[in-house]
Amino acid sequence: MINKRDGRRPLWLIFVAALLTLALVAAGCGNDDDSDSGTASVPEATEAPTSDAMEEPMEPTEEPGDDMEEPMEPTEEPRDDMEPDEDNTLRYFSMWNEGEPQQEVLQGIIDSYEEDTGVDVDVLWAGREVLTSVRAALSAGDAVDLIGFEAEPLAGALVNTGETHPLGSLLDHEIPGEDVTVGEVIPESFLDIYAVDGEPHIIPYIVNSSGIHYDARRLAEFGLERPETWDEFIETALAAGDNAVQHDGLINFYNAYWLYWLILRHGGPGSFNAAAADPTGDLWRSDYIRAAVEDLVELVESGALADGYEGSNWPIAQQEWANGNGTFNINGTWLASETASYSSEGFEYRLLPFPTTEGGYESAEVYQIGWVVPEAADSPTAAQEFIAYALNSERLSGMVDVAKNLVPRSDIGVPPELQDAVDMLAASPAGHRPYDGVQGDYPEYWVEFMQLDDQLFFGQIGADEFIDEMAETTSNYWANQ
Amino acid sequence: MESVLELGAAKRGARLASKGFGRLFVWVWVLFSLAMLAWLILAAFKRNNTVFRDLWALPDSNELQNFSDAWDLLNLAQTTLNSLLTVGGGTALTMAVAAPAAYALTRMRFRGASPMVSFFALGIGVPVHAIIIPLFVGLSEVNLTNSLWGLTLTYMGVSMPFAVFLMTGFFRSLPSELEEAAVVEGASPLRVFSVMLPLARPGMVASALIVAVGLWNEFLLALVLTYDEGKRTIGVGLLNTFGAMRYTSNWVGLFASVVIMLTPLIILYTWLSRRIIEGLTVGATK
Amino acid sequence: MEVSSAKGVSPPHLRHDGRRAATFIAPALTIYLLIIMAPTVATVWISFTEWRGIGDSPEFVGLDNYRHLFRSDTFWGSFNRTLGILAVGGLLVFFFSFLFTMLLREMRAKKFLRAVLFFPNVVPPVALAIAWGVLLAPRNGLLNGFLEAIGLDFATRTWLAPDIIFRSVIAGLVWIYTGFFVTILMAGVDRIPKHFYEAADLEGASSRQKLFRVTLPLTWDVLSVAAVLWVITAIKTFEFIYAFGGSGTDPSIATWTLPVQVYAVALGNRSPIFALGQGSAIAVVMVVLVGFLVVLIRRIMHRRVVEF
Repeated sequence: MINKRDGRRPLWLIFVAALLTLALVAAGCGNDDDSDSGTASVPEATEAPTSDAMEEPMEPTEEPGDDMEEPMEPTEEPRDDMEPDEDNTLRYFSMWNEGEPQQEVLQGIIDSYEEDTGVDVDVLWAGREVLTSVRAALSAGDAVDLIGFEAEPLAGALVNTGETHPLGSLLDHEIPGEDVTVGEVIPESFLDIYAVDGEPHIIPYIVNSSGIHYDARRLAEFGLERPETWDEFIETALAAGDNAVQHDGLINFYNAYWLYWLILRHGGPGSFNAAAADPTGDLWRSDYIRAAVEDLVELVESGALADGYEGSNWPIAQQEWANGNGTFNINGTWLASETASYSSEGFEYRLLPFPTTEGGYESAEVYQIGWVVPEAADSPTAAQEFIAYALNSERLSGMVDVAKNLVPRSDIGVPPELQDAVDMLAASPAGHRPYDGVQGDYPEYWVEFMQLDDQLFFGQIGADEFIDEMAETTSNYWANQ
Repeated sequence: MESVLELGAAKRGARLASKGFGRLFVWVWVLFSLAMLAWLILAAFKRNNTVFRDLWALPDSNELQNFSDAWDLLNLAQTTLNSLLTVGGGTALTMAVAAPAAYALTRMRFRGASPMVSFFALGIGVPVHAIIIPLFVGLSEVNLTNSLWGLTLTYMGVSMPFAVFLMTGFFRSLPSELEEAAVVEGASPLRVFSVMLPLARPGMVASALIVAVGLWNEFLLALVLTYDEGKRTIGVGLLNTFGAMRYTSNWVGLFASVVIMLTPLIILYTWLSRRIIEGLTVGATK
Repeated sequence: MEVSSAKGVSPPHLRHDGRRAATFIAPALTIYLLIIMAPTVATVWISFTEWRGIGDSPEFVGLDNYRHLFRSDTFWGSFNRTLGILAVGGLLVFFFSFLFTMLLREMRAKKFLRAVLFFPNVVPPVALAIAWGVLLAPRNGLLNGFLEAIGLDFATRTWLAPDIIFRSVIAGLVWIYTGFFVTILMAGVDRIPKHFYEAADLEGASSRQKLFRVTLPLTWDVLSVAAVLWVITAIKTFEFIYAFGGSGTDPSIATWTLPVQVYAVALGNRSPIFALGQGSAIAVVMVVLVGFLVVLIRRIMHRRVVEF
């Protein structure tokens, strides 16, 4: 039996502590960020922006993207939020992680934008799952004015479903500090890829591509020539020492590079997308697919791929490649930027356009990273202003000089590591979307494809089985739609 | 007779040997965990270009830079505070609400008490994934996503079934003399409850610890229900750091983040492990 | 997990106070209904719809999501891996937990050892996943490095290769959860009065006999709780796998389990699918699986409880 007196006090203390913690939590949430926490005491504050955005009469003043030169400032004014500052806030969701060079460059642009315009840019460095955050924010009715991410998932998740602002009028907008308009410096060919009804929805600020990267010195050490065709490539790889082709096999979409490129080489741009979009799945049995699949099997069986490529956890293989263990690495043109901090001394970055095949096609991948303005944005005009501002050649040049990326403006220059990529893009008779648009257009199908592709690429199934399974998977997928 | 004895001795010998082998195995397992921890700590002081070259080398330099990088990225003060607020708040709220419920379910007689306990127990089997989608949509509707308050409330909800169920076990085993005495004195139900609470203290501490450890490791809800940098809990913050470090291949910075995060945890654990384990022990056998 | 009625414990003069009880129970019940039960029901409903959750409203599609799932290799892959964790992981966890419980009982450093075994359970799973990844990395991982250092080169493997990556994941989970179940089982074993073992020793019982004649029957109820806990833990395992392959990029599909697929299909992913209906259908499968297994365990283990 426990003594009454002894036991009771501490227990009440626990309850008091519980209440205190409760109060603390409430307080903590309240102070945290006034924009959204749902503490009971600030319902008006949280409701105001939402109802505001919903209000019918507001919309017309927000909408007119067509004549956006003049009314830009006035549309900003009439918001009657509790805090006047909020008028001047731009909520920006970005794909970069803190510490990545691209993030640092963008941060610089944002800082100077804030200084020049007085607009407060509230940026979230969300990482590559930025769309998860965007969705969370949009569902909660929080403002998202600007999203920066890869064009393919943006197209698949937002643009194609009509959730972004058309940005056609932005093309006539002058770039602050320069005598040119946005439309004059961003090539139409980039904008057209994701245009809806002739109007662009994604404005790129980085243009990547992909291909096979190598260190020029290393090829020279082995006394090897730069290969041009697929057969030459395998021959060269076999002569280029151990672990010649480094590859991070745990990234499904890196594995998919090989087959997608081979299919496009044999079938031309659009041929992979066509096979994916064929409701019968029969296109998978066509000759160009078989040729591509057999070429891939040849690579897998050649032994040119590094030991353990199938279990390499990114970024380990590319790290080894940059440290001189291995000759080739298929990757996006961001590889130079990603490996810059640790590549071995004197590393000479070169890019091999994906090898050609006999009687095949040539085209180059155009992998855009760009901005969209969500349909539900609070300040779409300010977002567009920022886009124009950031595209200024001086400001955007950080992406080239510091982040070592290619940008859509051809008048800015090129990081020396990527001269090959620029030449490749210039020499190519055609451009195509990353993964021929299969990833962006059919994200669910893409998941099924990547698994079978993995099995083929890891040598678990042969060409015939792969083709049968793909044909079946494709027809099943379309039967379910 | 002799042979039987010999056999017995051999058997005993074999038994001792297998026991010795077993003990060795336990030590190997434990040392493996400790060695991994030690390696991570040492690696946090190494350099990126050599850390994987020679795995067993001692750090040749004092790379404190790693720690300052990691500190900047991890934002540990904020994430720890967020975790403490949501886990502490969630646990406290859960206990404050679950204790009276468990008390009433076991000490008060009314029709439906037993099915009600089973009904609460049902919730233990519902995985978070089965509620996260509507929860996300629903909390968005009432502006409770991306809010620590919303996360705390959710934590309270997901802990409720287990806490109620666990505490019904504790309350059920309490002696009834005190309670009877209080009733005879004409005390109100609330008063009777307050008399009974002290008796349930060990059980409540145990339940609170189990709930707190569970919430401390919670990750999915925090990941889905919040997105702002300022609202990240420790797990989500570390995941972001992990992502950032992979893009820059800054492994040593990543190890430093892990070490920074683990240090207070290890200190706290050496202090609290006995209580946590005891709590679990009491909980499991009730 | 014993759900017995409250009969017999309440003093007689406290009977029939349903209304008072209601005020005590109402807050807990409200929260429970609001945050667990209502969403569960809603998930079932959403699983019959097609819904992206941004700017659209759910469209009723009947059983389409389920039909779609049951025809998808991705789903069956995740389903089988979940069962793999349950069965293979479960066997290993319980084998080691039992072994350690028996061994630790007589070891001097028992408390310390148990604390270390338990430690992974208080570390955020993301950190564990990072450590596990470094351990098993193919060419420069700790495990392969260690094997080479002690001359066991032949034993090195590509631990994350597609044919064994999932075994590596299960090994990681066993490493984490064994400590947890050691603690729970030990709680049961410690309750067994010493004289049972003394009597067994006097009669010259072997360790195995002691295990099957004394320990198992007398810890049967704790074991049953542990088994139910394992089912729930195993089916909802998410964090470790997600962070193991993911973070900065999607987790390799070769490691997807049901919860990872729910996340990838409905909530997140680098190229989001945002199929809330589909994700909900997978979640419903998870609930059904838990329910079925818990009932099964209770059926099998219920009647063998020994009172002492």
